[in-house]
Amino acid sequence: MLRLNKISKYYQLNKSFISAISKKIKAVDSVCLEIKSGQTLGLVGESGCGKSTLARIILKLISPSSGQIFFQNQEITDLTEKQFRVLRQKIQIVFQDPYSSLSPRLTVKNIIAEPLQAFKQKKKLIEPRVRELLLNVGLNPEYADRLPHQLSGGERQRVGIARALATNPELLILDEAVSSLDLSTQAQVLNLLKDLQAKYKLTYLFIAHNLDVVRYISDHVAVMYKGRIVEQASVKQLYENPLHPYTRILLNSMPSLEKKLLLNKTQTPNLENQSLQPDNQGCCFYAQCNKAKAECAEQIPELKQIESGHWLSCFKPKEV
Amino acid sequence: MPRPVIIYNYQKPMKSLINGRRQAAPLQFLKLFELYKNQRGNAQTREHQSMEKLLEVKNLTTCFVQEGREIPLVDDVSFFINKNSVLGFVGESGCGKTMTALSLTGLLPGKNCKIVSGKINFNGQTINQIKEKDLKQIRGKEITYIFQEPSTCLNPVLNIKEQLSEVVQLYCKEISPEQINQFLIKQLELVGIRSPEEKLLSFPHQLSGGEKQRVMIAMSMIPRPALLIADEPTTALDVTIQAQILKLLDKLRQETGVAIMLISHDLNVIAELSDYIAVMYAGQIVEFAKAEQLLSKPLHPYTQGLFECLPKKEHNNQNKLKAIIGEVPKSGNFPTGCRFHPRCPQKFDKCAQAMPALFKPNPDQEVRCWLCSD
Repeated sequence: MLRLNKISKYYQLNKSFISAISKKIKAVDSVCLEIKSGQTLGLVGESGCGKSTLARIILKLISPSSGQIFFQNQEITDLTEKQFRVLRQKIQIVFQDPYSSLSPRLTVKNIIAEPLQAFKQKKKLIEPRVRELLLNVGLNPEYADRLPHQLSGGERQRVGIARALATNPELLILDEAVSSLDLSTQAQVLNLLKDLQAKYKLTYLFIAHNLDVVRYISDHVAVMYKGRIVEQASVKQLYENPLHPYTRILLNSMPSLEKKLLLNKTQTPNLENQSLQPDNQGCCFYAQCNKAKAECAEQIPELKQIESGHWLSCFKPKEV
Repeated sequence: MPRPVIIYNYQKPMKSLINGRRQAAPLQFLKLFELYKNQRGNAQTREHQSMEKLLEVKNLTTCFVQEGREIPLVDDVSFFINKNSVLGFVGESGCGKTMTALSLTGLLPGKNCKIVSGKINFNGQTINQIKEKDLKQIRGKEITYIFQEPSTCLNPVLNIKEQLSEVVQLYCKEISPEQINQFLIKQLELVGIRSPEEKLLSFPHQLSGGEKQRVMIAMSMIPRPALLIADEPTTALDVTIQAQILKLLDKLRQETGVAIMLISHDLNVIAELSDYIAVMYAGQIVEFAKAEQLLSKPLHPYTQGLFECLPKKEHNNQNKLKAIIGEVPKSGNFPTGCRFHPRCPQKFDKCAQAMPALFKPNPDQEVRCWLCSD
């Protein structure tokens, strides 16, 4: 369905005449990903590691510095806005904050109808389509005339999902779509997403930081750190046999009902203040890794397949 | 979201600190710190201490008054916190967790919000009936707060040292101006900040989210409070940093003997730290029990529902999450009878008719549900 080949996005620092060599921040650094049709890829990582930038690149809201994006075996990297417009219906996004991603001055009906109007849907077809979409996401069609402030958080997120579904997309990017919801509404929305996926054969790119939620919804999981994918595997492989040191730290940091976190006396390493360094060489996790070797500082470990479906970017996975 | 509460005095000019006030008796602050540590954190005394009640709240009702109508935000809430223990408050947003915490020290936002009835007993004093002047001695000194969003609680135009020394100036008068620097470095080390000398002179925007939260914790720990109220202290943080902050809170509890009231919507976070857990729903405590009891055998259908909403290992495509239907009712719009009954899978006739009282099916467990009435 979607394939990313060495996608990178660099941002220039020091854009002035004085500094001869301008430094680059690697927001996303040669990311290769593949999502199969009808499956869900979970993307996890801490804030600022480039998850949302990657989502924007796939949507072509920002253009990558290098690399190629393939969507349904067609390269879309260099398509002009006009050429891409047809495909844009097929890729849609649901945003994190349902409060700020819906216009407060539009009714629910107008919010959902907007993408339909943008893609020149016939006027008389719009009303029944909005009704249908509202029913699909589990909202009463009477909600069509309400304004966003009259809805609760869960209902707003459902409207956001209905809007994304309006153009019959095939790939849906869910950028922290359930992070700001309460526990009971989060469970409702997660179940809704699963139902919709089964019903419409949707493909999801699910971006989140809650590992339990990612395990529930995903088929495959990619772990991102400082703009690079450090490990990618099926849910079972990743949660039962995490190999990258960063993935292990992430999994060990999850609080649990069995008090695993506080009973586990090993100190969680301090990953704070590790902002993106311009032009760094070597493994992106080198400074924090307690098993780092000399070669880790000099070379960037490539993302290699170590067993079927399990990709890892680390020199010494066995020893770690 | 209420405005962050200022627990230190902004009006006081900072100059008074720098120019040097009259020095108090030269007490070695390090010795003092050790003394506190020994007094409160001794492992043997902990067991004994944790039986004593530090804070006891009885039938607390806080209302929002609108056009003569009283809308209950916190309704008939009773709980207690033992010395040196952690009480976890869990519930969804709009359940009254934060309002309960703010009611304790009279920090309710606006004149329309007020405590209508109930007693708050702290260390033998009924603190909702004492004068504001006396309350000031307790709030910020004996009871301190940590809020959810560290970046909005720190003053962006003052550096960390200035902000922390205000607390020292107000509540730790025995520390002289010359000692302040060293004292603050010690405090920052205690909360695990690397290179504290440097960080003291930096401004909030130069710190990462985790560091800001550590500074907030340091600020609230400086007066050596007996009770620390942590309102969603890790919600805005990454998983790895959340783990560190939780470990830090646990360490501080053990070393300084502070009691913690931990408010969170994340059951996992609450389960990690708490000795007692209170589950809130629609302004009421629906279940209050010892942590082990509540985690192993939750009795209220809402608590059970919350546990089932957590995605776990065994869930997959076939085995879906059991979500609680519907949404939390808005305050002022509560259903009659049991407030959870419209969403409850186990409801029966009685639930819609009368509000259940808190029943005690076990000695360590209180449940507001008709199912436990026998």
